[in-house]
Order: sequence, then C-alpha cells, then structure tokens
Amino acid sequence: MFKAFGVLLIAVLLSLYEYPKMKQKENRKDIVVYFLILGVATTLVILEVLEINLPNPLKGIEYVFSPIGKVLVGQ
Amino acid sequence: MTVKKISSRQFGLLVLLYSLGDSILFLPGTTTSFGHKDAWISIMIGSLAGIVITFIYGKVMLLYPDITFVELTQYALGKLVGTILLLLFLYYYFISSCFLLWDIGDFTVTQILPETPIHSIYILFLIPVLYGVRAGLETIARATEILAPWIFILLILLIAVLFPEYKYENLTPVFENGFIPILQGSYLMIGLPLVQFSIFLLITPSIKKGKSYLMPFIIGSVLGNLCTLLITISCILVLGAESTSRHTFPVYILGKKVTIGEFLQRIEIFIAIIWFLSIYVKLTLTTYGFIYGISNMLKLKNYQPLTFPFGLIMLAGVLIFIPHQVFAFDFFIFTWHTYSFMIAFAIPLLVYLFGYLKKKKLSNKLPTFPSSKNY
Repeated sequence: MFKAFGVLLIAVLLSLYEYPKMKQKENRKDIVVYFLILGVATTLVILEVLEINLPNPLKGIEYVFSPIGKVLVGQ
Repeated sequence: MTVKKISSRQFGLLVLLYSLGDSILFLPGTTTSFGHKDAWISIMIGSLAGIVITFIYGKVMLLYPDITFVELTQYALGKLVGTILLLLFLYYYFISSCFLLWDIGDFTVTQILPETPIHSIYILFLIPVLYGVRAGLETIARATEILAPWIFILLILLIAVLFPEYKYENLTPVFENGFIPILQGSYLMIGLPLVQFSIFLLITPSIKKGKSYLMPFIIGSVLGNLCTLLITISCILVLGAESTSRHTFPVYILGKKVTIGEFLQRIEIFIAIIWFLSIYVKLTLTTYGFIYGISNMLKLKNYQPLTFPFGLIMLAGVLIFIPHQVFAFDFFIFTWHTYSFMIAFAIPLLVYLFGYLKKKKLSNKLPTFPSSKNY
C-alpha cells in the first residue's frame, strides 16, 4: 500500500518540477499530453507495484509470429 | 526548441556502439547454439546483410533529409495509414527499449549481484538513461565520444590477452553441419541488431549530412558487426563451440579465464563494464528515438517533459512484458526476428518506395512541410 503512495508521490514531485516549465512557455497541448501520459504511467506502475496480473501484449505478438520462427529455426 | 545537429563522425560512432549494444551480450551464445563451430560465418553473413540493410536505410534518409521520419511516413503513405504504421513502428522500439532494460537487469542480477531485486537495477539504470534522453541528442553524442575509447580499449585488451589460449582446432572442421545451421545463426542477427538501425531514421534532421548519410551509417554497422565477430571467434577459439552454446553469457566466462601471471585475475567485471556502457548507449538512443517520434507525431513543441512519464511506462513495461528469462529467450529466438523484420524493416521500405514514387511524380513542385526547423 505504501509503495502505491510512493509512486503517486513521485508522480506529484515530477509534475511539480515539469509543470512550471511548461506553463511558462504556454503550450497547452504539451501540458495535456504530459498529464495524460503521466496518468497512464502512474496507473501502470501502481498496478505493477500491487502485483496485479496484467495481460502480456508480447504473448499476442508471439501467437502471431512464432509459427514462422519455429519453421525457420526449428526445435 | 531548435535541435543542434550532430556531426557525421558522431553519427558513425553512435551507429557503431548501437550495433555493439545488445549483440555482444547475446549473439555469441545464441548463434553458436545454432551454428556451432561456424557461428563466425553466420556473423559474417549477417554483416553482409547489414550492409544492404543500412544502405536501404541511408537511402530513406536521403529522400527528404530535413524532415522527420514521422512527417515522411505521413506524406508517403497518407495520414491514416501513415499514423497506424508509425504507431506500430514506435511501439516496436518501445518494446525494444524494455528488452534492453531487461537485458542489463537480468545480466547484473544473475551474474554479479544475485541477491539484489531486479527492480532496483532497472531504476538505477533508467535514471542516467532518462537524464541523457532529456539532455538531448548532442549531449548523448558527446557522452558516447567519451565512453567509446574505454569500450574499445577493454575489448582490445580482452582479445589480446586471450591470444595464448586460442585453440585453433576448435574451429575445424568447417561446415561440419552443413549450410542450414549457419543460416539459422544468421537469422538470429536480423532482429539484433540489423533491422534495428531504423531508429536512426527517426533522428534524421539532427544529423549533419556531410557528403552522404550512407558512409558513416554503413561503416559504423560493419565495424560494429566486426567487433561482434571478433568476440564470437574468441569465444569459440578459447571455450569451444559446445561450451559457448551452453552458457547464457559466454563472454563473461571468457573474462573469467583471463589470468596474467598471478596478479591480474577476475577481470570479467571489465566485460560487465563494456556491456553497461554499450547497452547504455543503445538504450538511450532507442528511448530518445521513440520519445522524439511520439512528440513529432503529436506535434508537440518539446519532447523533454515526456521523458520521465515514458520512463515510468518503460519500468512498468519491463515487468509486464518479460515475466522471466525463459520467456525472454523463447521470444527472442522464435518471435523477435520475424516481428522485427515486419515492423522495423518493412515499414521504412514501404515509406521509401511510396515516397520515392511520390517524389518523382511531383518533381516540379516539391511539397513544403510544416516547420521541422522549429523542432
């Protein structure tokens, strides 16, 4: 539980550092994108810290491409 | 924010260290497990294929040198198709950078610091990487210029010191198992590092052209593959093909074998240092590439604020993508190269074909692109 709050703390500290710089230059798009991606990042890291099983996109890629690989390399 | 340009020579050096990056970690073991004693022939074939691949990438760069690859794709293939392919392309490099982070974490935790949780290695390694990405391409190039001599000195030292231990009968008989295993060994080079050179397409406007992009690109890749070749040959000559294919990191075992007199021992940590430095360069370049690419795609004024959020996503990504070493190796051997070829090679190739045809059609009125000069 504390680890999740630690991640949130890091996100907040990061924003405190980055936001004034972006506000200074007045690019609204940058700020929106920054917070969007920070939101996604914080969510993912908190989910990982709480050790919740997330589906692995690489398994999907493996499903598509591994038949060809197995034919070429064998075993 | 204006991007300062890096010189041709710095570009060549970046290509060289980029091609060393992951390859000297994994290629000796994996190519030997397929090509056995002839793994060095596999790497030579791979280097020749690398010349062709980097030549094609150089041609893509020469099409419109002053705009970013993102704009080029959207121009050549149309906005919708271009954006979809770009997302796949950038996602590929995101996965590649997560793999690089896993590489160094896995190596450190299995060989050097067994009781350390792997997450701390990830975080510790990510901090200088993200700092470098945020600092910009010129800083990365200058840092590489400082780090490169150390990598080469240590590599030369390693190979020279092992000369007395070479057993040439480990290389014979040549072509023992036929040609197919050699080609299987070369196949393993496709995803690492040959087609991964297309990361440099994303940073084209930041490179001073000089006479051409082709020479530093091709020479850098050839020299990098040559270094991998030398390391692999050393592994086979000293350890023998069987032993090389059995270990995960045969070069590390090579380092353990070095003893000069009685005082120079346990220098395998020098090999770890070479790997830290080369993976640092490759990871920084890959991360810079995809963050820069994403900010181009969204037409942001500055890519720098996005570094740390994407760093956090990379941290989560390593943990999600790669649950354990067995999965990583299986994925690498069976899936990675076909996937890499489809994404990292086929997409620039499509961009080149369509971009070239479009350029020929409107040869009188070349389109003006929105300001990449501002970027």
